[in-house]
Amino acid sequence: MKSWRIVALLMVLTLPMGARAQDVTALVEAIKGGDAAARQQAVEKLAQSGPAAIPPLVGLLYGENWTAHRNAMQALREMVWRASRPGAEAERREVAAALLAQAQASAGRTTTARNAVLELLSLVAGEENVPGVAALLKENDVREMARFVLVRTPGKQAEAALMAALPNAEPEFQVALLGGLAERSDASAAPTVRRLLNAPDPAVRAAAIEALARLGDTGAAETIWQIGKNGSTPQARAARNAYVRLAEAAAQRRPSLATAMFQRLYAESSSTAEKCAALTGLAKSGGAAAVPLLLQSLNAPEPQVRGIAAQALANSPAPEATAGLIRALKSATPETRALLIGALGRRSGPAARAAVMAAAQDKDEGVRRAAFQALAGRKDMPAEELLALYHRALPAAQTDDERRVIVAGIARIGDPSSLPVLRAELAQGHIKPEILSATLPIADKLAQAGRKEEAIALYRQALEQGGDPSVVREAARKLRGLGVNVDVVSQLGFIGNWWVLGPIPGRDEWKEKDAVPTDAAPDTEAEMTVGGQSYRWKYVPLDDPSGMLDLEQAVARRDNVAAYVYAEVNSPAEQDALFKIGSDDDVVCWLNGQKVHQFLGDRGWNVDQDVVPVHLTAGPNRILMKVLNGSAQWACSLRITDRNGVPLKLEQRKPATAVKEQLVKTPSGLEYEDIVVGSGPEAQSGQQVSVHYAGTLQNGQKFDASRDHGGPFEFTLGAGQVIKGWDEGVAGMRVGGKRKLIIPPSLGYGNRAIGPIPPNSTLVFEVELLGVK
Amino acid sequence: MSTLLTRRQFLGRAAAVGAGLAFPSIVPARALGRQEKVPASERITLGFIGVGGMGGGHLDAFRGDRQVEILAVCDVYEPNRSAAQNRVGTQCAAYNDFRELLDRKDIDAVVIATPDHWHTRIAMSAAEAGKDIYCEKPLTLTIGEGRPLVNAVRRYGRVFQVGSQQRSDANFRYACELVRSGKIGKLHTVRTGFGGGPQGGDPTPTDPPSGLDWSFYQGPAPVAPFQKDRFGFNFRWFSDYSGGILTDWGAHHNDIAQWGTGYELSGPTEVEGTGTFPTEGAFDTVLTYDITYTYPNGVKLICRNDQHGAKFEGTDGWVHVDRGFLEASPKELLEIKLGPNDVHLYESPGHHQDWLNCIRSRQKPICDVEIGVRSVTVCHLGNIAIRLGRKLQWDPAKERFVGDEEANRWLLRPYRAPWHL
Repeated sequence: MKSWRIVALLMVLTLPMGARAQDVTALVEAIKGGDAAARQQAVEKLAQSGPAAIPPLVGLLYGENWTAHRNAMQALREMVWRASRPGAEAERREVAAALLAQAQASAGRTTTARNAVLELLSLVAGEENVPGVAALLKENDVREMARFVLVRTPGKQAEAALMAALPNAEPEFQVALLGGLAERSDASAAPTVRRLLNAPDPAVRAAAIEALARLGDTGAAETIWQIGKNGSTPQARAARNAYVRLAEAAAQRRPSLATAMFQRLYAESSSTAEKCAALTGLAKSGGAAAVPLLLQSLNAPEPQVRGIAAQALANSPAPEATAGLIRALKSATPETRALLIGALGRRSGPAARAAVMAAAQDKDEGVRRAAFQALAGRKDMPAEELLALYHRALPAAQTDDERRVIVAGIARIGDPSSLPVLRAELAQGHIKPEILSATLPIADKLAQAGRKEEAIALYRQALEQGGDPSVVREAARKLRGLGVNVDVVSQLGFIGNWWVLGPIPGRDEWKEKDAVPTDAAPDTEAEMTVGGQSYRWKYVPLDDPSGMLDLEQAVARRDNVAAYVYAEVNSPAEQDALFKIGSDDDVVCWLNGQKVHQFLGDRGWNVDQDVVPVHLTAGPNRILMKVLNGSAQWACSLRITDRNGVPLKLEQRKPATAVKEQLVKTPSGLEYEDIVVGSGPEAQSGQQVSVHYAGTLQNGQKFDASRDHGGPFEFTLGAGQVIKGWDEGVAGMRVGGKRKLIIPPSLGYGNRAIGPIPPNSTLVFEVELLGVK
Repeated sequence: MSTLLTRRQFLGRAAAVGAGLAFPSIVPARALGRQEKVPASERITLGFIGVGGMGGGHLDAFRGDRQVEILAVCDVYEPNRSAAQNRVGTQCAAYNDFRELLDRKDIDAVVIATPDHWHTRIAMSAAEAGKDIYCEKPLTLTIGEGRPLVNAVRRYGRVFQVGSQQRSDANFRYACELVRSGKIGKLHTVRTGFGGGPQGGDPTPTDPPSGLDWSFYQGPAPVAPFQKDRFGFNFRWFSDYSGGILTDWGAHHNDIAQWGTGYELSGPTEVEGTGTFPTEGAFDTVLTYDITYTYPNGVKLICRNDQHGAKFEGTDGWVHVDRGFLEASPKELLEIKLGPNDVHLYESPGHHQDWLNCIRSRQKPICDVEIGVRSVTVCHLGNIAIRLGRKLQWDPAKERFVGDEEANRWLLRPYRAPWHL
């Protein structure tokens, strides 16, 4: 695709206005085709060649060489854009005059091209062009674009030319001229336009009405009302629409007139839309005088009208509105009461507050919810009072919607005194995710107050029962913050050791067939060929606290692709279990070669989307899943529980031998790679461990090694005896294993210089775990 | 696909409720978001104006939704119209002229997905007819269409959702919340982009396809001979009907920029830019662009064709968001849970659902008309600055250029009669 810069060139402009004739001829020749670069250059130069280039360029608009047409048009446009810059008055006049001359010449010219020239002229036309353009209003082929030019041309002369053409034009063009005068929005046109309110042609009358509304001619309001009242013709509706707009115009100068106009429209209109318009306008212009009608409208048969009235009353500056709303409560239906409470909720003052508080005990559920919502937003509502109300209301709540509103309020305050009522609801099985989510801010408060054990218990509860991944993640993060080590994956029974194969292009085709054998254990070491493309299984240990295997990270960020994921778990005995599967998008699952589940369709990932009863055999069980992606996010998860939902902590297969190129990055920023996975006991926090190590800087320079000191190095893991990167990075190694640690400065020596180590160094260690005790 | 309800969403929703923003429904709660339980009498009745590419997509999305009932479709291309009608069923009427559809008193709300040059006129007529409106982006063709449109919508108390659906995506909202809560420090630069526009299109004039009302299709736009690419998806590369890539995609990513800067109801005060245009084919909107906007607080919005998505840069880090993409530096930014004193932005349950909810509650949806107008105005400013090749001063309150009447000529392109704004 070829393109060229236009505007940058303007700044280094060298060509003077008015290029020589033979230059122009050559340039015009060059834009007709041929070499693209030359064409581009020619367009640039022509755009700067001034009026002399206009006739030949316009000439190209009449031909059928479309490349020439495109480039001539572009050159003309740029010439016009240039000429309209401030301070280039002489240039603007020259260009405009040349364009007008082209538009005026009709012999042998197509209408399309003349109109295109007029459109260009509209951006540069000045008062001096008005007579010439006005003359074109008489030519049927180009009069519309001549009108277009006049609408866009500033000044009284263009306005006058449009008005002068009005009386003698045929009706169709009168409509056009009226539209033009309306768009120019010059109020001095109003008297001329008014004369056409009595025109014989209804379309002309409608256009005149419309124009007067645009011009804000409030003096015509009464006449327009008479035309519009009681009618359902397009003209009558246009008149009532105009009447509303004129009332708006009047509101700025004479609010009382506007109020009267809106009241009249409300009283006499049968259209919902117009009643809404009348009430909206009334609320703005009417002040206290508007309140009675707004209150009355709360009983209107149309729900939209009731809604507008309530909103207007909520916002009304008149104090009478509060009392009026409270009075209206007495006889209102539940639906209207909810509306009134919503409006009162937004009004200040003790009376409004008391009414809303009383409504929190209304016998109707919808009214109570409206009250809870309204109370939460009030600035004059002390937290203790609000909490007491929530605590009374939650056990009495009748629907989950009502509970949600109350629990959301409780969560916002986050006070430990709410725990008993929340626990009671949880025991009843009500809105579990929301309640557990609401316990988190409470736990935060407890932690801040030094009540760490209580906070940990709440976080743990959310972690184990939360279900919602963000609740789980949040709880896990808080627990880690309090120094509690959590392995969400194993605690919740997630598969955390996956082998992954993909991305295999295509989605729909893989819904029915398979790219790998599904009935036997895959050889995770062998290369696979699918569609001429070779793939390898890749081991991906899971770190995500919500158990999600992010296939965008593990495989690729691609649309319309497939992947297979494989895992093995060891069941100590034959047993019934549940597979709880989440996926984005489609998923098919096999257990020991038997298809046990499929979901085909678009969805976003969440934990436990599908629950599948399965039977595990004693010993190793093979789990294969196929996960397809339509677009955007791509993920899956699987956890295994017993039939009661209690997580099964089954031993999962991990890579047996050396694993290559498996750089793992942890949330802290530590990166590690297992060069050899050991087979002995796992190093755990608090244990005394024995290691050999060698440390280098990123440039490869060695700074320390245990073998240089003559023997292994021993330390207590997780006790802060070594840099943070070690405490984190050695944990989880198995005896006999060898791990490469890449430690950022924040987990190393930070900005301190230690011996040969410069400040802010990233450190690379190879660590062999020799023993633990 | 996006994930389901998250804790942040839940609490965000709670906060929105708590802040008293929610206005009680005027229809009983059982009709809200509980599809299977909505009785026919409480369903929202819809009409669709423009049922080609985007409109057909919306139609199919709403077709299976038991909260609504589709009563009519309208398109100036007969095959589109019939196909849409057939998909909905025999009870669905089909019109060539949108005014006939708007005349139907039994239709509550309309979905407008025509080419851009028709959006404003049809949306204003729909508001005047008392319909609630879902209108595709880019909302307007010119800056000057914006204010009359907003006024008409407010005058008739209509609910208006603009189709900039990225606002209903949790990633975009979260990125803007981080920025507006100061998590990247003091914001100084926003970078947006969406690739370049295309060159091409068949310039040869031909007869319009049978079944297309070509004159009605052009409507308020200048008359042009038919070229096949003027109709269908490629209309957006013709300046007669659209602002090209700058409005087509700017209405998404520049909209997000306005959301993140907090200027969504206002705009920049200065703009300058450069760009290039096609030299063959039929298309005539920008190919490449490099535009710099300056906001009153000094923040720069830099929109270039070699960037993608919206990247907010502050003194303490950055956050970069795009479709299906969210990154930040330092990356811990993305772990932040916003607290009660942070900025929580309006949370949409999905762009269509938000609209339906607001039709019932009479609230402003996530991408209300004023927002749509302001966002597309930013895009129009870029198009004008590229063409005029000079730095322009913009007054977002008056919505006019300052001290440059020639630039102000660009505010509105007069409508072809008998159409008028």
